Amino acid sequence: MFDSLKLTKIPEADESLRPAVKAFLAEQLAGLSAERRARSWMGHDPEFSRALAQKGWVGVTLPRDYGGAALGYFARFVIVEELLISGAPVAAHWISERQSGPLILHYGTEVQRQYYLPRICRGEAFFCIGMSEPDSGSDLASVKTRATRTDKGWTLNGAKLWSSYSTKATHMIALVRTSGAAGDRHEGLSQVIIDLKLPGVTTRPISDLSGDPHFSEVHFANVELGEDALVGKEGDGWNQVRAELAFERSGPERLYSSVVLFDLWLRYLRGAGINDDATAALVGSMTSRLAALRSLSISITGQLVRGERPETLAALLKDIGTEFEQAVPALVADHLASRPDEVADPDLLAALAYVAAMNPAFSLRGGTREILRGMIARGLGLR
Amino acid sequence: MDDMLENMAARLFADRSTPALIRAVEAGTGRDQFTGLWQEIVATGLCDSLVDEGKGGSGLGFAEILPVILLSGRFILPLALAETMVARALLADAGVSVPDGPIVLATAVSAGAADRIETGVIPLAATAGFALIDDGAGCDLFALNPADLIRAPGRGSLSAQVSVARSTSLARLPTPLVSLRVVAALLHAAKLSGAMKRLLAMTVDYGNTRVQFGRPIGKFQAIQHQLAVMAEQVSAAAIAVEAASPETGYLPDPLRVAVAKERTSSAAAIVGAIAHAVHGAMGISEEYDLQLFTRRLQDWRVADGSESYWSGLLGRAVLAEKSGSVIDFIRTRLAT
Repeated sequence: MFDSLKLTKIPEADESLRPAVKAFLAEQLAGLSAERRARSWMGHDPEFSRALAQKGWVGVTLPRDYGGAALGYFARFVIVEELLISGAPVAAHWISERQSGPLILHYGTEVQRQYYLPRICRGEAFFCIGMSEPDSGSDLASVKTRATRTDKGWTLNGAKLWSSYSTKATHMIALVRTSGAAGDRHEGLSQVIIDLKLPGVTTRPISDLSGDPHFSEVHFANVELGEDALVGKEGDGWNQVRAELAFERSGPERLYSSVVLFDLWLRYLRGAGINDDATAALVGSMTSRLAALRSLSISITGQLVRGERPETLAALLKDIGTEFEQAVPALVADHLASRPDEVADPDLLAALAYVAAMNPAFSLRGGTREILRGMIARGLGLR
Repeated sequence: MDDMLENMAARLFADRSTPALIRAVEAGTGRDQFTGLWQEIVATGLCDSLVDEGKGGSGLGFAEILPVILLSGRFILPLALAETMVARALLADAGVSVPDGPIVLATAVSAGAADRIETGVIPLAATAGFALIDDGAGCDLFALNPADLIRAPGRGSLSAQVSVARSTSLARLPTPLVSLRVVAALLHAAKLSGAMKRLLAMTVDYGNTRVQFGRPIGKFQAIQHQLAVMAEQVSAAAIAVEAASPETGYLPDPLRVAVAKERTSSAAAIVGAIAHAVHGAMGISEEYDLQLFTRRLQDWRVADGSESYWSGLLGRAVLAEKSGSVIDFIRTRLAT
């Protein structure tokens, strides 16, 4: 496991993108409130996504022929890192950029690539994920939503749950059963692209505990899909999803969900001149944890660049990364309240309120802690 | 560093830095054995790895020799090889002739009489021949005699405080650009990383072989999840050590060392606890080797500043910046 974990440097060419991204974000986000920024990659704003797309920074890893920037994963790391520390509202294009686009590029037909990828890069096609179902959470292989063969393609029936922003997305890539029964586990699963405007698709928003209607349930009642809805090989869905999750789990968003809060806290401490020994030790230990996690994330990005599939390390990083993200609001709240005669600035308190409420989500989305630790144990040779 | 040197060190340590030797050294009966091992190490040329080529050394950078330091942790080598490599480079750079024997690196504490230098607790001082002591204005080289050592408490400890008369200094060197505490902290961080990787492997192995309730305990989720946490801690610590290791030269950046020592020292507490939890009563028995490693973990965790010391140092640097994201700080000050 450790042999593949090499200290890796972001190449100069990719690093050189940073100043332009920083400048663009400073201008675009000038009026965005701290509370909105604290939403990190749950902030949704299609206009922002399109503005980012116009700069060529959506779908950066996709080839130029499909409208991408033909840049590598390190360039994407730099752009994503800047988006996250600025608290940019990236949710509209996040899934398409991170996983749907690469999935279609890798497993899709030429027709699918020609159709979807330019739309993703222009910020016109916004994808959501269709994995969980009412009875399938961590036990993903038990999905029951089924696509049945017809002479023109497929008929889809079932329901997906907890899909983030599917009420505002244009498409979903769903993991569905195309043969066999739920008991067949990993066999007989496939991935299909669903146009969410098709007849028979109904989407109901679900508010999260912060009041944002960010996720939803999506029902499919005899939805007619064309032959070209299938992505990749029929029956190979489980394998494809696993590859997709290596991308989903190793990026900076698994470390930075609380970084806007961290920075607002630092700004407050610096401004108020709070620099006693206990504060310094706390700031230092949090910075140190984050520095090591960032090195891990860059190292795993290097493995993706080399075409490897670092599934175990991606799971490991997500588990320890989300542990850090979740610790931040608790540590900041404790620190602020350790000085009960001082009132922190309202921006900081607003960001804290949001992150403190939402932080349980950090270790649920993209695979729960328990599932990830099981994967790590398998990587260690215990299962 | 080429793999040849690393493979050679791995063979030597595996053959000679054995649990039996370590037990003998800890019991105070192994002097002949460790003296012999030291002579074998000297014969490999490893001690002069960081010394300039023009001065008879190999002229390697710290990062190139890191694998050997990790191995010295992996095999809990009871001799201050890593420290000697740095000390010899410092002595060579100052034009001071190198003494024959392991040299530990230490920092003077302010207490005590003006004519004496005293240090905090230094791991492996008990098997060292010399100490290079940084008093903030310069470094002095002292020969160590048993009477100069105040042995640390705890069974089998090879750590000691040093108390020597200033007048017995063999040579005085100018202050290095980076204090010896910083350098020694990185060495202990690296040894922790090497030892923790070994502990993870030992604990996984135990989980796969120890049978309870009719199956290997490693099949139980409760055990698997603890080992997963262990692997996470070991991974983050390992990469922090790499990030702090300078490519060229042997003097590291203090803030990167702060991350390396904070991460490894924090991890040591968690990793040691999980290793023992999984091993059960077997792990705390004298005759089982686990305790040799976990006791050393405790020594290195607190050597040259614990996680809180280095957190404070790093945190003050972060707070001293007028503005900017913590990520900008990490990117520009702590990353390679």
